[in-house]
Amino acid sequence: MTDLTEHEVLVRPRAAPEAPAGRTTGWWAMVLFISTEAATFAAILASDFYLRFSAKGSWPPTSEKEPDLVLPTTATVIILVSCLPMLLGSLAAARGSRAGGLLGTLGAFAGGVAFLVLQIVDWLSEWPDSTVSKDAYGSLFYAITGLHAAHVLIGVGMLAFLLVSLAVRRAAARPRGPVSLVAMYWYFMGVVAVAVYVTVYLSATLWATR
Amino acid sequence: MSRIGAEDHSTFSPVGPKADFSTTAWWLLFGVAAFVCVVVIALVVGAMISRRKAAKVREGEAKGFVMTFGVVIPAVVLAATFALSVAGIAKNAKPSRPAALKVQVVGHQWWWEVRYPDSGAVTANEIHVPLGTPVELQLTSDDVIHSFWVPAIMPKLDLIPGHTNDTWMTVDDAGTYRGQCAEYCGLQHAHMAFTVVAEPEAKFQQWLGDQADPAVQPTTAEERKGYDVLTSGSCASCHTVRGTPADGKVGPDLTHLADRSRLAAETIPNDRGHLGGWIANSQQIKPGNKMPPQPLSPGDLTAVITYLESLK
Amino acid sequence: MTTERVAPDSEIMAQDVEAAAAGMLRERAVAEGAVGERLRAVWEEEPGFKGFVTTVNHKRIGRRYLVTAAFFFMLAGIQALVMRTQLGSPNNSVVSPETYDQLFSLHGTAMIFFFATPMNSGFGNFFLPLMIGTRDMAFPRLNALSYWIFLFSGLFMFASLPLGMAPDGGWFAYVPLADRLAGHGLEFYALGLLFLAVSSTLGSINLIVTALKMRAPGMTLARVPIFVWAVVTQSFMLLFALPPLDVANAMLFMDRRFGTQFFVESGGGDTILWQHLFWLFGHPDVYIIVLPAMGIISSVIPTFSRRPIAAYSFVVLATVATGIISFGVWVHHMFAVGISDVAQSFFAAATLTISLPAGIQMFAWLATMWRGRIVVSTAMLYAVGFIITFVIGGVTGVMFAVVPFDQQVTDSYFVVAHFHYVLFGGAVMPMLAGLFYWWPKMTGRMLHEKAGMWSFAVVFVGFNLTFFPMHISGLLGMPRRIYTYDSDLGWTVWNVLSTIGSYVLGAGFLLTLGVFAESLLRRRWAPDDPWGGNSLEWATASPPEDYNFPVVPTVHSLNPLWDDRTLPSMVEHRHDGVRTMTDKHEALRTSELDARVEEPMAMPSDTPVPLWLALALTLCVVFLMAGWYVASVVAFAVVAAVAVYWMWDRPDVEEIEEAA
Repeated sequence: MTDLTEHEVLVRPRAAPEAPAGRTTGWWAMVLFISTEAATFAAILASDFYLRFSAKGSWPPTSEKEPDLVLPTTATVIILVSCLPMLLGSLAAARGSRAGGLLGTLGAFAGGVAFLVLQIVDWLSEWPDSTVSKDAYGSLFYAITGLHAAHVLIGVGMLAFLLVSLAVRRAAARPRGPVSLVAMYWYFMGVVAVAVYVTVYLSATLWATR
Repeated sequence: MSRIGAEDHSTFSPVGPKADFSTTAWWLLFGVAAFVCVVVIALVVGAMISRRKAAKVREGEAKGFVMTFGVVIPAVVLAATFALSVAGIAKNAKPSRPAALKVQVVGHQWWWEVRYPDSGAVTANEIHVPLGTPVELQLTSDDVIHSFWVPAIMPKLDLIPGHTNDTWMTVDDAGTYRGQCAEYCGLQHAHMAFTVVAEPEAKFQQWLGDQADPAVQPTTAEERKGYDVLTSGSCASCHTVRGTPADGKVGPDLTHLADRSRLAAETIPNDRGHLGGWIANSQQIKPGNKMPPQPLSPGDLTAVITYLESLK
Repeated sequence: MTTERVAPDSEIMAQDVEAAAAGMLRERAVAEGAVGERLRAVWEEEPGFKGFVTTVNHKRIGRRYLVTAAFFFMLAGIQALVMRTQLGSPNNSVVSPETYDQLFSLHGTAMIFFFATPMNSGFGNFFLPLMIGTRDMAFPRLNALSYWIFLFSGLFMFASLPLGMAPDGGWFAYVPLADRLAGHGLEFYALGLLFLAVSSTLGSINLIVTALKMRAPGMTLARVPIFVWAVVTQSFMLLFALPPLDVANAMLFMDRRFGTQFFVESGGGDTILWQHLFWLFGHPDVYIIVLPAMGIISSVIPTFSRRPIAAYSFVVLATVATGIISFGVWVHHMFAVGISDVAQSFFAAATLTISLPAGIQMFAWLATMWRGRIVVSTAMLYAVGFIITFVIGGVTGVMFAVVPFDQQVTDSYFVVAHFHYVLFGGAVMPMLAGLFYWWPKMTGRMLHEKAGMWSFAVVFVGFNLTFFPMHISGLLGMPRRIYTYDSDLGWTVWNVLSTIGSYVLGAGFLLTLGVFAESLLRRRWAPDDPWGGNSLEWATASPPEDYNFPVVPTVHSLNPLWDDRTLPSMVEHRHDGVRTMTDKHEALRTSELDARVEEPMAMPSDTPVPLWLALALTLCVVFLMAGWYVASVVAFAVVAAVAVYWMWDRPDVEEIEEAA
């Protein structure tokens, strides 16, 4: 911090030249899309709690075993951590750095793929004990994790698209370009992963009512 | 028994406290609503007539007018409406004195099972209640959602599978009142009616005692033949006649069928011809109902009808 | 409306004379003269069939929405006439109970989902960009996609009827009935609505972004027409109301096809969950349908009262407030379910609250009329018809807040009467007002006003004769959705009246169609601004050029065509590249709140890609319906591939690549 000295005249700071100024239509579209998707997840997660609290017996039902926490915890941490390279990548792309953009996107992409693999392994390990048609608990388990996984799959597709774009097109790296939009979606996937994790896994183990 | 008339199935002729409240509320609401409609329609038609030749357009936002008539006055009316609503909710929550009789109503596609758990009486599509005393109702459903509605006695309450809705009703005037399922429940939703018969306490107790008894034994040869056909044939797999081997749970209890005035949830009168037609091929009468046509020989059919007609 | 402030030069004088003769606004004539030719070259689309399938122009798409939705309205209306014929006498057997159940289920589903909402989308698509002074929607290709999906989902849903597999669970498809009904009707229902929701969601995003980012310079929030506010509010509502419906329909489909137990009591599911999810969508949907229609009324009444709308800021607040409150009243559809007294009281209060914003709008229109000088036109008559019917539907709506009364009349014909007064009175009448009001703008032709007024009279009488008696039959104890009734219950006379009314109403619609057809056959060319309207759509040609505005004007007031500066600004800026954008396919982007110029942005040209994507998605849905799940996944992969191609081919990316 500097103090004013006598006779000094402060020069007006100049706002950094913004090019282009203002939010883009794409930014708004992504925000609105994420809003409606958030409402979708809210609706299905609320359904889970509704069925849980209107169930007369225990939750999960006594015929179900509590879900194993190791895989889902790992998967959730991975997708959350993958938001960091996504952030760095989108900042780099905004500066016009294709290499930085590529690297960050690649990090998120790898996180997404790892998440999906773990999710599939988790389903395979749960399936022998609980199927979609066994009871409402099973239906909710697969529907919620499936809905999220489908969204992550679409996100991974977007990231793949970005990777190719960044590799062959200069224009892909630019302020408020596609990297920042996909990044918003990816952060959203991370947030939803936590909500799903709490609703489907934690509340059926730590807060199970037996 | 005489056929139900229009006034026995109308919200305009209430015979119990619940329907009374709704009808009073209706006339109050109707008065206010009619006044509002008349004012607004007069304003809009008046404007169309008188402002056509208007000399000039007036400036101004008219915010005071909009606030007064759009918010302030409606808010007062709406507050009064809310008070009416809460009063009604409170009034309908509990009967004025505890109910002495419990009736269970189970909805089926497309008929009503009526059980009196304290006496063991079971019947269908006809609910007898003592006059002037609150009756506890337990409503549930065996298949899909139905809704219990007797316009002259009480507003709707749904019968929901897996849930039991507890409520009550009181009937103040003796008579037979019609009710009908009010929640779309499939193909024969239109033919899922029932009656509530309100009668003096003594007469009701007499009826309840009769209903709780097992079926009368067949006396004539024809009745015995009907008994044999019914208990040995397909009838028994769906219907119960208490006191006989017939103990099916799918269709209505037939123990005192002959006491009922109508058949198939108020669809047809309970007489020999209609009963025979129903047994032979009910699908002609109420298409889609769950009772398959019964390929009985004419002799067997007559015997079954005779037997059923004896089940007073 | 003067142009004194603009220095008259010889160019303007010459065009003035020509313009007046052609019914052109002189300011537009000057602007067209300056840049029209260049813009036409840039904005021209392929002619003929190729142009038909590749267009991304919001006006053609908007027109298609209107025509397609009107077509579905006719189909659903014919179904209603068959039902009324069946109910025209007791114990009638015009149709079987199976058919009757399919008719009323598809009638409701079609009217709500495939007529009312898309009809609003049609008006929104056509007029929102015009009213805010821009050249197209924010995402023209997405717009085309929304339309194609709407069309294909509607055809998918209606195809179920000739197949004898139409939904038969009622338009709100309560479980467990909907879980158990045999056949495939409920699968058509669940899939068709999920499919349509894609279109509604994309369309809503598009409309919101357009209204936020593409308003003409100077159109600050306080100068946004009420119709635009209404469409934006409605679009936001769709974004938050559709998800619970989508989730419910997905659960219903999985319950029926994959044995999930969401709504199966014995499997730990719950039947009431469906009702919560459905009505969490269903009640906002009433306002999703009614709000834009009321926005049309807020356009028609000021124009024909020759003055700005009264209490503009109140009306805007009321519109937005309605959108918000509507999410808190859904349980009043479930008062007979057996919910707690506390919940009943709460939702009764919420239900009462939502009538306040409606009251504000109602009295703002009345104030506008009483302070104006009224010109009677068919559109204005429909606006009056709307006010009369909507107030009747409104007061019966308030009655439902009295819970014991609600329980008495819910699921009876009283409710049928109520919601037809709200939805027909509150939406169909304003839509007809909108059609008569904007017809010259859409088609470039004037309507036969006298004939239009007669058609209004027949529709108005027919509507009231059909639906008013239903109040009474409901109070007399007639439940809804019964395919027949006995003669001794006192319902016959009211049903006969309703049936006669429905034929009158049908005749009224035929007459209306005749009025429209007559206009299309005659050559009564419409001027730019036949009604002396107040909003920007009247500053364009009739019908508008592909680029709408040769010069994007500066908006100086809420009623831009009635101030002294907005129209002249088109002349002023006719050599300003940012306002004319003559070189490329571009539209002007402005800031969200105060509509300051940001930059011209690249717009896509016509392309068949949206159609391909919609077709691939249709295949995906059809395969799901057929139970060919692997084929469905393959079709979805095709959808993804087309989407990738689409995203690769972005106009802004090309622009930047060129520039770099």
